[in-house]
Amino acid sequence: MSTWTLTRRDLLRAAVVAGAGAAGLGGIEVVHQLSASPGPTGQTTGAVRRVASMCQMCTTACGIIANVRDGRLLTIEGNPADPNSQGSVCAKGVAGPSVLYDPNRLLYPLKRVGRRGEGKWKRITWEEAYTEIADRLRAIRESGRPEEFAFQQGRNRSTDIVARFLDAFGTPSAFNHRALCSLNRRAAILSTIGDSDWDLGDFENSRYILNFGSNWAEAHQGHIPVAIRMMRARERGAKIVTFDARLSNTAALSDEWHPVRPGTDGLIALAISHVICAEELWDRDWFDRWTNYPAEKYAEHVAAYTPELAEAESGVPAEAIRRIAREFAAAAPRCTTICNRGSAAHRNGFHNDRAITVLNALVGNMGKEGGWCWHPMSAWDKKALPEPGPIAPKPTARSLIAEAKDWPLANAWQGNKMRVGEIVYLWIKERRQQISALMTYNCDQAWAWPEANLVREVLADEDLVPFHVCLDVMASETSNLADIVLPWTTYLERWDIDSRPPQGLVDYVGLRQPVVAPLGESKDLREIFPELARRIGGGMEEYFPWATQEEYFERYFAPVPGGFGHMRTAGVYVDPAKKPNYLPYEKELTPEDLEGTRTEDGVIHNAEGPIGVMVDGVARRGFGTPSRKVEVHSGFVADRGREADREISPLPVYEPIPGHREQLAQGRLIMISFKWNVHNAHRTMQSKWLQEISHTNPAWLNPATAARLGLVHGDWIEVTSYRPIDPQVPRGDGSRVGSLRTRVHLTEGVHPQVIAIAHNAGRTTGGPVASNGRDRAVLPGHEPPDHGRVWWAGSLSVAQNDILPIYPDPVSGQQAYHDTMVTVRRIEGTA
Amino acid sequence: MNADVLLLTSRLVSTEIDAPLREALGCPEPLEELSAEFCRLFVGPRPVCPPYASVQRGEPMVGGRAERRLKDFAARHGLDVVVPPGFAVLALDHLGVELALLHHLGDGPVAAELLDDHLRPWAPGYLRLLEESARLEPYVSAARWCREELT
Ligand code: SF4
Repeated sequence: MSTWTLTRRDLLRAAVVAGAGAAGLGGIEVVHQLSASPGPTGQTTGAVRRVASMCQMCTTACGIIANVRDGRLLTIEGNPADPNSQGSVCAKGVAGPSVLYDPNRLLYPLKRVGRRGEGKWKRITWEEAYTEIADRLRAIRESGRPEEFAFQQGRNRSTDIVARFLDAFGTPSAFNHRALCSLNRRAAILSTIGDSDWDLGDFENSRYILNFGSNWAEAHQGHIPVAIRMMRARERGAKIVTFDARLSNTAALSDEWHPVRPGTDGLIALAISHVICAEELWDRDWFDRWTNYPAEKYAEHVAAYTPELAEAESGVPAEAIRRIAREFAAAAPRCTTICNRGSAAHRNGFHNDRAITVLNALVGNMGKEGGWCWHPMSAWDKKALPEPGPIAPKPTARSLIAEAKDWPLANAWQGNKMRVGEIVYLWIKERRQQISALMTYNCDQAWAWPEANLVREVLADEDLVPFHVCLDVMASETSNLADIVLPWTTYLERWDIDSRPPQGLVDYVGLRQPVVAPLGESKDLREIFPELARRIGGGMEEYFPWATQEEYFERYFAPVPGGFGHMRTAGVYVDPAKKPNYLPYEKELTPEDLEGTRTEDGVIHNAEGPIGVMVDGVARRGFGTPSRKVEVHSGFVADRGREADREISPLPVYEPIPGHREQLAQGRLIMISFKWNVHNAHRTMQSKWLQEISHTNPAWLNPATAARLGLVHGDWIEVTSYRPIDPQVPRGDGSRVGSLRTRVHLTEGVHPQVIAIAHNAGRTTGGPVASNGRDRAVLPGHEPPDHGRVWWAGSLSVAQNDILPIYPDPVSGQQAYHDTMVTVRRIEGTA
Repeated sequence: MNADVLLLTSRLVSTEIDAPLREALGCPEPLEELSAEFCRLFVGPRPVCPPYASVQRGEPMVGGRAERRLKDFAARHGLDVVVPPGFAVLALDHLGVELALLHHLGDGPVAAELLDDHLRPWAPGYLRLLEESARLEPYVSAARWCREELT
C-alpha cells in the first residue's frame, strides 16, 4: 500500500486532465442525439436477428441458430438444417451466452509485469503484443531451428489456419491432445478397415446396439448426433446394452447395464466372438469373403476366450455374455457396436477396440443399413472444397517430441499423425527437445493433463520454456503461467469452416460465423496469424494473401451452390446428389479405374498403390487397408511394432493390465474418471449456468467396497495413486504419484473394484464460478463480488488430473486414463 | 455534486493512468505499477472489482438487464455516449459511463432519475468495495469521495 494520499488540491488539477474528455479529447464523452425523439420506457428496440452458425462448447460442432437483438446474443437453439444434429442441442450448447458474456473473460492483451505465475499483469495494445511475439518468433525461425517454436492446441476447429501458419513457419512441433482422447480407437479402426478412423454405427436403423464404454448421452465427440439417433432407434424397439464400469446417464438410458472391470471390454468382445463362432451364429461367407483371415482360424483364435474367463476378469456373468452374443448375432446385419474411452483409454485399449471392431465383421454387418458403418471423410469433402491456395509445404525440420518414436502406432498413418500428448512436458523437462517459444491455444494443460503439476512445474520454469504466449477466452491455470495472454474470441464471435464425421453417412459442410461482434479487444487466430506472418516475414506472409476473413471464406465456399451467401444464411450445405456410405467396399472398379493396373495376390495396384481387390472374379474397391480387406490379421501393426522393438499382436488379443491382478488382490482399487452432461473441458466450468447444475465431484464407491474399507456415505477419504508397474511405460516403477482428499458418494452404480471421480472439477483459478469460490481474487478477508451469488461456494471440487500418472499405452501412446491403481483410506476432517 | 470527483473517478475506472494524469495527480508510483493495479482491479484476469452494474447486481453475464435499462434511459433523453478507443469499457452499465452521464447532466430531474434508478442501487456498495480493495492511490481516495458524492 502506498503511503502517499490524494488530496483535494491534487483532485482539481487532475480533473482538468481527466476531464479533457469534456472537450472531446480523452474521457468518455456524452453527446445529445439532436434528431432522436424520446421513446416510451420499456420498449424493446430492434428486431431479433436469427444467425445460423455452429456450436463449439464441445467438439461435436452442432448447428445452431443464435437469436440476436441490438447486437446482443439472447438465446441459442438448434439449427434443423444441420444433418448431424438435426436441430437438437445439449445443455452446454444452450449455455453459450454465459461464456460469451462471462464477467471473468479475457478481453484485453496482457503482459506479465511480475515473476511468471505471480499474477501481476498490465494491459498492452495489440500492436505491442504483435511486435513482441513476432520478434521472438522471427528470431527462432531465422536461427534455422523452427522446431523450437512449439504450438500446444486443445480442441482445434480451425485446423486450416493453424496448419497453414505452422507449416509456413516451418515448425513440426504441433502438439495436440489426441493421445489424451481417442488415439486407440482411431488406431484400431484404421488398422482394421483403413477407410476411416471413426466408426459411425447406423444406430437409427439398427435393432441391437452393444455399447462398450461410450458415454454418448453426456459426452462423446458425436454426442448429440449419436444420442438423437439412439433414442429414435430405441423408441422403435432397438435394444441397447451398455458395458461400463459406471452407471452413466448413457447406461441409464440403455436396456441393460453391465458393470465391467476397467480394461476388460476387449475380453468381453472376444468372449462374445467365441460364442458366435462356437455356435456358428456368424456370417461366415461375409467373413471369408471380406476379411484377410479365415473364419475357421479366427474361431480357433477366440476359442481360449471363454465367457467364463471373461466373467472372471470383467465381472459380467458368462450366461449374460452368451445371451447377448446370441441376441446380437440374431439381429445381424441390423446390429452394431459403439465404443470409446471406456474401452480405448487403457494400456490395452488398442486391442480392446480391435476386438470390438472385428466382432462386427464376424456377424457381417459392416457397411450395411443398421450395421457398423463409417464414412471416408472425417470432415467436409476436401476435393470439392479445397483449401484456398497458396498452400505452404510441410515442414522439413524434425521434432523429437512430435515424432514420439517410442510409440509405434502414434504416427503410423500418413495424414493422421496423432502424437503422444501426455509425454510432451515430461520430455521438455528431460530436455529431449529445446523449446524457445510456446504458444498455447484453447488448452488448459496445466489443469487438464495427467500429472498436471508436472506441466505447471515446466511452464513455470523460464529455462525450459523461455517464452509462453497463451491464447484463450478465459483465465486458466495455464494462462497464469504465460508471459503474454491474448484474448481469444469465443466460437460465437468468429469464423470457421467446419463439420464432423457425418452420423447420417452423407458428408456436409458448415459455417461458423460471428453472431455478435468480438467483445472487448478479443481476436481470433484467423486475424492474429496473418498479422504475425506479415511481421515475421521471410516469405511467411505469402501464404496469407487475402485482405479479410470474409474474402478467404468467399473463396473457400465458392464451389457451394449460392456460395458464401448461402452458407451465411443456411449455416450448412449438403450435396443432394450424395448417397449414404453403405457398402462402399462392394463398388465395382470401372475400366478406367483398372487402366494400367496390375494384380498381385488378388490386390489391384495402380502407380500410387493398392486401389481394389478381386472378389469372386470381380474387381471391387474393397477396404483402404494394404490387403483391401478387413484386416482381422494386421501385418501392418506387427511390422510397425517390430521397427520400434515392441511386440504387437497382429490379431486382437486380451492383454491384462500389468500389475492389476496383484494389486486388486491386495485391496487396491482402479480409479477412473468421467464427464457430466453439462461439462466439457475447462471452459464449461466458467459458465455460471452450467456450474449451477453441476459443480462437485465426490468419489463414487460401491457399498460393498465401502463396507470392506469401513466407510460410510459422506466420509472424508484420502486417495493415493501409484505409477504402473510396467517397464514399457516411462517411470513405470509402481511409485506413488500423489494424493487427493475427497468425500465418499455411495452408489450401486459403480463396479466394486473401482473408484470413479468426475474430472470436470478442481479448478483453482478463473474466478469464483469456475473454482467454487476458491479463486477469491481479492484481498484476504473480503468476499469476491459475486461470491454471495455463487451459492455453491465451498462445495467439494477436486482436481483428479494431478494424481493421474503419465501412462501411455506402449503400443500407441494413448493415455491409459482408466488404469490408475489407488489406495483409499478414511481420514478425519476436511480437504 | 462535485463535478471534479465524478470526472476523475469516471476516468480512473475506465482506463489506465497515463503520464499527464500521473503528473497532475503527483503519483509517486511508476506508470507500470499503476497499470498493474488498474488491471488487477478492473480488467483481470479475474478482476477484483469489475465496474459493471450487471456484475455487481448478480447478473451472470456482463451487460444484460442493467445495460438495457441504461440504454433505454439514454435513448429516452436523447443522450449518446462515445467511449474512446482503448478504454476498458465493454458495456454501458460501466461505472465510468454512468458517472460521465451524471457529470454531463449536472443537477435536475434527469440527473436525479439517473442517480436513483441506475447509480444508487449499486454504486455506493461498489465504491466501498473498491476503496477497501485498492492498494494504491488515487483509487482509494477517489472511491471514497465519489461514494460520498453519491450518498
Ligand atoms: S453436443 Fe457439443 S456441439 Fe452439440 S450442442 Fe452440445 S456442446 Fe454444442
